[in-house]
Amino acid sequence: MSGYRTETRLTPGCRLELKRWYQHRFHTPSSHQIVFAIMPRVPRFLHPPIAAVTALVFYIMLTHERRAVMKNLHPIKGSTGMALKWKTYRTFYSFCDLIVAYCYVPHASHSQLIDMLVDPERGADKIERCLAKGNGLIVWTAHLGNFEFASRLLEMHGKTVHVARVVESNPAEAMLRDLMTNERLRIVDLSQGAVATIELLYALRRNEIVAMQGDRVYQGFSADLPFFSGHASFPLGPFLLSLVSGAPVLPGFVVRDGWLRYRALMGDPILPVSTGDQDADLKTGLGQAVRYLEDTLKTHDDQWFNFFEFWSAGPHE
Amino acid sequence: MTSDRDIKEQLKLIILKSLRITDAVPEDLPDDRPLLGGHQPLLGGHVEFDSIDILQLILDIERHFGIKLVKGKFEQEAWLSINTLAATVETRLAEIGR
Repeated sequence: MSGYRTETRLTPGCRLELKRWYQHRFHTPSSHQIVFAIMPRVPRFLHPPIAAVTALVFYIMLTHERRAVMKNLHPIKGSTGMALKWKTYRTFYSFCDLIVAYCYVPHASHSQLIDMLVDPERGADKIERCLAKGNGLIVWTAHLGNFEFASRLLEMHGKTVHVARVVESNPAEAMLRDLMTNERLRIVDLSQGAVATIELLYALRRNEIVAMQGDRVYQGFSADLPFFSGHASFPLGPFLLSLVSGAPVLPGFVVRDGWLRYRALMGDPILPVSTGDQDADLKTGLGQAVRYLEDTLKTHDDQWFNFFEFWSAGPHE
Repeated sequence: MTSDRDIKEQLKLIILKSLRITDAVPEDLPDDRPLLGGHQPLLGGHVEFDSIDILQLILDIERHFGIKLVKGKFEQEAWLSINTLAATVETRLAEIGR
């Protein structure tokens, strides 16, 4: 197990210097504003062809990102040649869907959100059963499919949803964060460090919902786990939060199933256990979540938005 | 009944153990230095909390005293210093009749 308890001591109350992952050069407020100004005015049937052309343009222009996605997709199914290129292109296309969805998802009513699901089954029973225990719920998701849609679905359980994420110092990030925030959906900026963590713990103790993306390591508190043909680092923080709060961790994703149409996939709740070996307990829980991510990626690999080489990205040192 | 002084001593020991600090003793931890935020970290800059440290610390405090330290509304004042943290622990102990 690697990376336990980072030795970096951070000044309390200050913004943390966390690992910066990836941002493409078009991730700017003006780029997003162009999308938000144009796409809602275009008839919906024209969206897919526009996205297809846009995805092709970015596929050609963003060479580093294209190569990284190809390297990420290859170990998942062993695709090569044209099949791999097609999968890579599909990833860019799915990303267009995610960006265009920002035109609709933040302001959609709950019934409009339900209408965007291809199957009304959204794991609501599992969520309700977890919340019935009164310890809150940690939803473990990833940069897969439409994670923003997923957070809005969670609002439907009558609890405040706290989306824990690192808000990078990029105006486009802040813009998307502000777009998603509403009275039921709060963004908790993990770069605030200990204060942010305490806020999340208080939320869970009030039986509220915390949503976290578990496929990128921002600090050194992580474990290396088998992941497809290699090993990869995943953060242990959500599982320590689960241990402290008693909240189960529910792995779940919302994947695209057509243009602006989605399907919710939910794994089984992972309950915190305490055998006396805390490190092993956390790693066991994380392993269950990572296996669910693996299973989902086997069928939805072209919706995994990590435009950097995932396997070579180690924990933050 | 546990006295305020005892609670502070116990908290300091837990902090040192929880954060795996081996080069300090409880007396090195001032009662009134800010725990979170502010400009003077605990131990005059030797000890600082990150998001994982604080979770481990809360877990250890709750297990040690048998209380739910964190509940209700988030009040940052409770986390200002050893003094305020000890007061919160004392309140929680009183709530469960100890």
